Amino acid sequence: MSALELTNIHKCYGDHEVLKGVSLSASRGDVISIIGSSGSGKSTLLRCINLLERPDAGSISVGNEAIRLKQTPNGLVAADRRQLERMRTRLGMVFQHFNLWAHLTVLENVMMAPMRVQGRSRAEARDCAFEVLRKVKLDPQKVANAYPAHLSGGQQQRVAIARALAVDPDVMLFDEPTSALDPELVGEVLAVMKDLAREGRTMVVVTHEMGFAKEVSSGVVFLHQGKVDEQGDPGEVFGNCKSDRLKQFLRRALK
Amino acid sequence: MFYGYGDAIATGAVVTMKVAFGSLLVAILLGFATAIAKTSRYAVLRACAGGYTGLARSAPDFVWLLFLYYGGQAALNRIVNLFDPARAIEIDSFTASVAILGIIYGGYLAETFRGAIISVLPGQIEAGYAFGLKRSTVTLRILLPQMMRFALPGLSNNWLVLVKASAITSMVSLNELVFLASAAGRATHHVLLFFCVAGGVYLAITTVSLWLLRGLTHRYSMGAREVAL
Amino acid sequence: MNFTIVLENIRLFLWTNGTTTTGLLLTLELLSISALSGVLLALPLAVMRASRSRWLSDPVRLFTYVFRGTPLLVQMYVIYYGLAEVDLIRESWLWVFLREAYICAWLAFSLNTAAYTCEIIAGSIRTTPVGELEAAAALGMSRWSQLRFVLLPGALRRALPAYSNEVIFTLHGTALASGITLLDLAGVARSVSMRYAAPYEPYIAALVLYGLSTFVLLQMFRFAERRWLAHVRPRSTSGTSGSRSRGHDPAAIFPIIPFNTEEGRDVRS
Repeated sequence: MSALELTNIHKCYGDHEVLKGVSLSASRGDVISIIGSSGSGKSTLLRCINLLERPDAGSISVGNEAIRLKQTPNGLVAADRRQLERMRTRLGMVFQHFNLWAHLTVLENVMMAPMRVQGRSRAEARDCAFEVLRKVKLDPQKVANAYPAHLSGGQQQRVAIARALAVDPDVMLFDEPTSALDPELVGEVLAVMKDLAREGRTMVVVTHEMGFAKEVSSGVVFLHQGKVDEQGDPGEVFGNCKSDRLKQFLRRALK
Repeated sequence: MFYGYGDAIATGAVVTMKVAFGSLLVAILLGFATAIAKTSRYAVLRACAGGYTGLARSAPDFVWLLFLYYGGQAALNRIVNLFDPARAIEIDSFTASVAILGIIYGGYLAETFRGAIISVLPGQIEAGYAFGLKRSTVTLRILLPQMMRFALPGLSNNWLVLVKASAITSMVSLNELVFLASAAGRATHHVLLFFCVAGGVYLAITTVSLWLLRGLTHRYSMGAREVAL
Repeated sequence: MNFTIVLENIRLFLWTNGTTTTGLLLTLELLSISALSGVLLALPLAVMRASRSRWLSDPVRLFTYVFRGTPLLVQMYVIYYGLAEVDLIRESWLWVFLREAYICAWLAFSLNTAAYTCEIIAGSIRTTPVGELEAAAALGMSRWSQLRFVLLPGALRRALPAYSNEVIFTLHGTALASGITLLDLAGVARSVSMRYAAPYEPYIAALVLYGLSTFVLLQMFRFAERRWLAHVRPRSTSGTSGSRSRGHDPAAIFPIIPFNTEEGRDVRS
């Protein structure tokens, strides 16, 4: 069953065409890694999925339900606000800079979307929060009432993952989740992501961590200057890559 | 001690604080709405907000006060006279002062709030939308709380300004501190004394306000190594 | 609305009533002399205020406390009406000056703006990057040279945005001179309004003229900032993944009055 389907996404910033017709599909349980050099459009593509960026053309479906879009001078926007909000809870996003709400405690951060968007009760949201915090290997008793600023980067990102897990999304989107972390802390976040992959979560991950892309993903997409240069399963892409550009990129990235 | 005018001074001080507080509330409401308008997607809203803040800050509050007070009164009466030629409305100076000062300083506060809004990290707002929160929810539960931390210094500043700005309402005969001090001084031929007393009262209000607000703003000030000569 | 009242009296509004300066010209005159004397007074005061020695900074602190903590109107009334009561002053040589409304207004405006400007500059001095002074000292510069060539130039430049704010407020403050019989722009507006029983037109004219003056002042300061603050202007950075900022830069120079919130750079009336 198709969990996520992107078709022919185009995006321009002024004169500069960042995405030149990118298509991507993921089935249930897939872990897709999107790799490429800076400026290749990886993050932009990811952010088009939940319409944090407005694509200029293309279509997006989550679990066979297409997001209804309408054309405006500034690109495509959601035609139905309610549908967009609903769809966004089916897509949990983890940001490069965590984006935890600084004025709320860890618990409040994780409980916000379940309570305010999904309408769950406070008690239910709290139990769910405790569960997902445990899942990302944090001790709820210790961190529940802490503020994000008091936690390490790795802990903050894991809270961000927990926040995304709390809405039980169909697809999880990761925008360079470890790029802003100190090297020692990258491991703990990757470990959590590996667990999620093993559980069967559908994940789309924009990353520079080639190790993760090789070992954990079920599919790799290499973007170059806004186009899909090569894609396939990790063995092929990393072992037997056909594109020269990909060869060059890997040589530089794996040095 | 004050030649019998101690009560007048006290009354004046109270009216001063009432005017300052009332106009602060009006200014906060107007200022926040304007700041939201200024950061909105709609060019019309931005233009209106820009026009309002530009106008409010382009001329002395004193001249605005006189214009809106006398002009507003006249205009209101004109409109009323269309329906009932016999009536003459007079708005009391307190209400007029609170409204007018609120309108003028709302324009200033709008800039404070706008600066505070754009100081909130965009990622915080984005995360809100990414999780499906409605625009109103994001504004109320994420933008507003975080914005207040940035706006607090400007707000406390504006409070102090309004306390002092209330002095100009003496020119439209509002019985606040300066007006009463002036009357008392003239009556007793001790003008210097009463104006100094008035000054002292303002200093007291300022000092107490600063002391109360320092506790609040201390949390939000950044520590940096300071240069001393 | 009938603007002929204004047009008939346009000379009054703009520069004179035949005998003395009035209207816009008087306002600008008061602004210039008050701002100038204010700055001249504020500079040494600011250096004292930023000093570590309490003998130097405390008296200045008292001065700025009083003049920033009380309304300009009260300060003006004390100088104009209050001092007139004091026999000592009436019988001295000072009286020749202090009985003139013009002098009293100038004095009040100058002291007031000096207090605010002093705090602005002192704040700017205090936040000078320490490294700059350490480098100067390491090069063998005397304290005085450090002050003249490193500290003050930097501090004054950084104080410019806040100071432009302050000058605008001084301009607006001059309107209070009409409260002690001076025929500045606000005074002319009031006088014409009362004489012709016209509640709108004279004030609208005054508001327009104040608005124009404010605008011109702002443009002048923008020019000054472009020239003297070029070293802190942000350079445009290339868009990188993840940074989707809408170009909000704290160091950017706002086109309208910037509102800084640190102590000393405050909104004032």
